[in-house]
Amino acid sequence: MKPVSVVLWIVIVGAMTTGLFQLKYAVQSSEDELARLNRELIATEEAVQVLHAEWSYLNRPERLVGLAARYLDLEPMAPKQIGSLNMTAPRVSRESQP
Amino acid sequence: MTGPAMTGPAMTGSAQSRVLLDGAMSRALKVGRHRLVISGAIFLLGLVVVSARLIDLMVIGDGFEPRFAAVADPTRNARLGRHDIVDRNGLLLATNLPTASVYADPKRMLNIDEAVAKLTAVLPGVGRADLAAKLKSKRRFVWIKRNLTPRQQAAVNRLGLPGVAFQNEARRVYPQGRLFSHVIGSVDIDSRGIAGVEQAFDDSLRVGRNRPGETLRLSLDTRFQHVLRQELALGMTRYQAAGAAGVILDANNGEVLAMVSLPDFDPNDPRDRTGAQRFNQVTLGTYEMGSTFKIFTAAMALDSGVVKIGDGYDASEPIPMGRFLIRDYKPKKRFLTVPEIFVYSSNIGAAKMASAVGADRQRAYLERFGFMRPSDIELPEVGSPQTPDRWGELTTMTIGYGHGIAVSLLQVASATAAVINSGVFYAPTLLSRERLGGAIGRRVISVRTSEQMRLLMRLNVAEGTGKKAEVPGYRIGGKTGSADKPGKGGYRSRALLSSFAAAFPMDGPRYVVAVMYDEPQGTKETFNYATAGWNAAPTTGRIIARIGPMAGIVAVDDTDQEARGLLVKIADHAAGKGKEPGVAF
Repeated sequence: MKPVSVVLWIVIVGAMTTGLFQLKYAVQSSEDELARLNRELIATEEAVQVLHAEWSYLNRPERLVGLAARYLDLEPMAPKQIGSLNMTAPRVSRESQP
Repeated sequence: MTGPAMTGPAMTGSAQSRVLLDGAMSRALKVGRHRLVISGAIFLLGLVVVSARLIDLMVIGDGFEPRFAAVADPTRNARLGRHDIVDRNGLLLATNLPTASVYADPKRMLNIDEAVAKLTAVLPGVGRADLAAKLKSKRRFVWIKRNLTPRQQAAVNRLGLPGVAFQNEARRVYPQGRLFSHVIGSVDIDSRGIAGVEQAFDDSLRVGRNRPGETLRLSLDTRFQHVLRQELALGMTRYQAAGAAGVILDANNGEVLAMVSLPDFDPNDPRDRTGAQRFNQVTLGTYEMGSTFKIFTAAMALDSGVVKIGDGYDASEPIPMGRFLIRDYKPKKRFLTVPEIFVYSSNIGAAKMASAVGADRQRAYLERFGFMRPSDIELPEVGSPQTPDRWGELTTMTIGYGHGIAVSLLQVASATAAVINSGVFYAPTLLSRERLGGAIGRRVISVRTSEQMRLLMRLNVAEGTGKKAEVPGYRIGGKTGSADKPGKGGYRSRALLSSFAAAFPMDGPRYVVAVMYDEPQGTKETFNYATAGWNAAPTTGRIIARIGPMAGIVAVDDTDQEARGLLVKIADHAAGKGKEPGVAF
């Protein structure tokens, strides 16, 4: 084997080794980042879950009834307040009037 | 490895001066050269393998990288072990919240008595003697307290006790509290469903490794549920009843929109649970419904053609049957038409009508209405109806006015839906029909019979025993029932079970509302009456007056005149003057 090729080989192998080490460190730090993001994601999801539960809790009908009575000048809808379009008076256009 | 070290100087010697040696020296050199070649080859091979692996890693790659990245999807485990349950509008009814539980390994604890003193100081509800006994046992794992609050967790953490650690857990939470107790049910400490929907859908609610996450959407409507519960709770106090129950169904597909049984329990508090509180009176309890059952007697009589809507029966005398006497609550002592029997709730008339239908046909119709086997609702708490063993003449007659057969309130509601929705029976369901792929029903009575039944039920509310359910603007139809509750060796006369099965609006029924009170008392307000017309009927009216506008049902003005007109028509027909009334809605 010629010394040149041996040197070349050693250089290539050395370069690749360095490259591999660097890649490994890069991957390691990416993995750490991924784990951190995953933890964050789980924490956020749990927070969202808690907020959902709280939203539902705050939307309990009995609570809303109380709040509406305290802060709104509104009353529960009565049956006669619901109507349909054909219960309105027919439109009278100017042409049809004598 | 002594080989290379020994042959080192020999190699330089042989390269520089080609001296031939023989004998022992020569053999030693040969051996040394062979060793050198072999170990050199091994090193070279190792170097080649390492380089090849380097090239493989750095240049070629094997394409696995994306797969490794994908495995780390965190959402799969973040659902905390159990899916959410939501109502038809997506409002959360049950969810999981993360909590921590504290446990101990007694073997690793330094001073158990001190630890017990410190722990009981920060954890309310943990007994001192109890904890000490647990920690002094030989076990290596002892729960100290499950599901701590964040503050308690911080307090325990601050104690810094060795051998005490936390485990992250999920706790099932019901944000709506008592509102859905019987329907949703609850879970045990290990998040396994032990009642209601939680038990019925336990498998699909549990998050498995190969199960995609899916929220369970029910057909229930929180607004309707609230109205139903509030009005029943009010009525229970007002009429001093021992229990109350109610259900609201979509008349045209069997979806359960609300289901309430009182007394109820707080699903968030596992200690708050007596037998009576756990009992679902809508699905599990079976009762003799009394006159409410006349809906089905009239429907089968009209549908089988044994009687026409204008015909009638002589109800002037009670019917003697063995040692019983079938009599009316408020006797009219005359001939009654079918509408009159229905409107005045005549037992004699209903018994004669049932007798005309006959035992075999009555049984077949009851089977079609779903009264002969347990309801198909997706709940573990479903009661089996009690049906008679011997179906004789007396049985046929008593069933005609709702005695001798015990069914659940839900069965009455779904059969009522079939009677008024033009005659198609839909099995009641807690799931949204959209998800089930539409409603599949079966015809149980003809469209014409259903129209006539709507007329009769409307009349009962406009002019009969259900008058107090009337809501101006809505055409409500219904039927009252007040049954004596069975007691030791007969019926108890002072203990009633009052019920009202209603539907509205009668010109195109959308909802069925069924309400029941267990042992209501007569009060000053009800002039000491405890019958359904004085409690279940007005409650139903109040419920409908509130859910009607929510459902956007248009009120009509002319209800009263129209209903009176119909009664006149029926009366005319009964007297042989007019034609048989059609449906004039």
